[in-house]
Amino acid sequence: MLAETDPHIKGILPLVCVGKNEEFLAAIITPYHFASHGLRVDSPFGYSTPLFSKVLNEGGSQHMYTAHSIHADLLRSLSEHISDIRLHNAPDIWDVRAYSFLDWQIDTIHTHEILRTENNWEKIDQDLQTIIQQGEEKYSLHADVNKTWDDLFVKRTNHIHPIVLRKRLDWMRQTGTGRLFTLTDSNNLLVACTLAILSQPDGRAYLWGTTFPKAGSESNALPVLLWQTCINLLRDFQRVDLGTSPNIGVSQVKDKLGAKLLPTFITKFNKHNKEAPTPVSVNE
Amino acid sequence: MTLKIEVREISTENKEWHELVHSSRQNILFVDQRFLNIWTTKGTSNHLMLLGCYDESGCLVGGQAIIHRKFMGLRIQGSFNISYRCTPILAGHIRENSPEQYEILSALARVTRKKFPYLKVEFHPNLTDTRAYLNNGWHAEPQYAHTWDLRNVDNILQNMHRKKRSYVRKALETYEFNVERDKKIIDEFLRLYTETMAKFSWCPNENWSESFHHKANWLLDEKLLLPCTCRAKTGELISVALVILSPENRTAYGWLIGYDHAYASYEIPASLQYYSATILAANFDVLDLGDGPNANLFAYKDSLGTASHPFWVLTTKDTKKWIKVLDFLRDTRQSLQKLFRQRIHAFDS
Repeated sequence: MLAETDPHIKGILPLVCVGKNEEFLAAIITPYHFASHGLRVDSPFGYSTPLFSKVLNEGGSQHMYTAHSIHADLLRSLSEHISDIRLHNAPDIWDVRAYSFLDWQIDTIHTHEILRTENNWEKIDQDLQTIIQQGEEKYSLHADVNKTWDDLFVKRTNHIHPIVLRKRLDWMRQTGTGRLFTLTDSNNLLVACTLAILSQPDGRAYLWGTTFPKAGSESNALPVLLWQTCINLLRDFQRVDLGTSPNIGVSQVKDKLGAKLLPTFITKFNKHNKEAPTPVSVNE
Repeated sequence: MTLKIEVREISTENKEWHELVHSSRQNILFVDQRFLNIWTTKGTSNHLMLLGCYDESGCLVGGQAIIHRKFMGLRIQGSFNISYRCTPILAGHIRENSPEQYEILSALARVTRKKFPYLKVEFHPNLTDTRAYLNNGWHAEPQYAHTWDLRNVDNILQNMHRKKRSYVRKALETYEFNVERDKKIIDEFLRLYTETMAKFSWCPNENWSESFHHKANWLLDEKLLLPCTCRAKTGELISVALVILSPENRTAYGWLIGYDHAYASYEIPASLQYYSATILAANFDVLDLGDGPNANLFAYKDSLGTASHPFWVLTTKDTKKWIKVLDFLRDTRQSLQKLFRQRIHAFDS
């Protein structure tokens, strides 16, 4: 889908790491495009992340070196094929030593996750509960298709070309892998919207591109949008990833919703800008 | 409502600091006033900056202790071989990841950035929210502490890699392991440590040795140091591991280890660390063996069956460049000193 919808993507590079008995250990699938210095991976749509066999996670936080070595092999192989890489690792990837020891640049950005529990409402901060209750009288949530709202959403998401995003939205709707949730006021005007990317294999829904076409509506509309969307999604999914935001106000609303703060890592490698490893300093 | 925080430098004699530390979830020995005082006196050119965060009602709600040196008019942070150095601490009533916590950490991120040309801050593992630092232009990256759970000390040996386990078992039969609290052991340790660190082309100078004696002796006097030794059956000292004890959080921290390289290096350190775990298990819950800063050390600590626990390391922009420049200056100074000593020696003979 990524390659079909974006004319700049020239191909997909799948790398798989298998054991001696051909058993699956790890993989990474990255769409790439041509850049001035070679091939480039930079997908700003959802997580772009390595996958590991469950066998490698059996030790929990112990005996992690094997998984680390496989991760490092995968990254070495990826960097042999692609000269400029940017990955956004899923929150499950909490051990980034493979990147660190291979001198990749690591940036941290937080997301939030809500789990399906018996008492999701009780976990919400009381002040926010009041805002949501008042907001529910003013706003309505929709998941149906509306061309005007689709247009507004794709126009406001400025890090992906509107035509590309529009194609992706259509594709996801056709395949049941995405839904655009919109919040409207009493005049049926769009106040806020978010795209839910629905991932059946891991039982999670990922919110992406949350936006507020109506200026100044964040503080009242955001809690309603997130809460109503979560209620909707938690019927079918165990977890909802609320997405990253550089705005601390937005991020704190997610805290107050009772969502768990999770770090995610954007890891970058550039063959041409690679610095020599910093030597280990032993001094006092 | 936003909490307004004022950050002020405070004296180490300030009783409020003591109360803050004791109420805090980040209560570890390394932020204790007595520990900070010892680390910044005698034989060191270290200074201590103690920062207090006060709310609008004048209550101390957070703080940070930064040990540093002065170099050409700049405050320069050193590396001190202690865990979670410069961790911010928060009063016990500040809720985890709350807006209040955000304001306190933001204030510290802003103020410390102005006072130091570069800074590297290691968060206590229970500080998991780095947003305040990220939003103030810092860089956040996790490192991983390797720990043994001493509440299940019997499992430690079982969790080790098979080869490592057999080395440890063999060493426990071949050598004598003990806790030796006599102060002579500090001198003996220093001799072995110098030998170990020669592998990394580093030799403790007179200042370092004097300062180390001062710290280690104080820790011994306060019963905050566990010196574990490994000797040959003939009594010859092979290795010493120093473990710092933090009763506040029932955690012991592997500090330094030195060993005689004539003996097998793959069995001695692991055996000594295992031995120290068995001694500590009566009074401590966790033995923290520190991070594995490179793939080899990670592999070694992982083979011991330790659990990896992430903790955050926050750095200001250009920290790597500053460290490179300072390392270069330090290396140049050491080379000149070495050359000077050689010349003197040649002249004498």
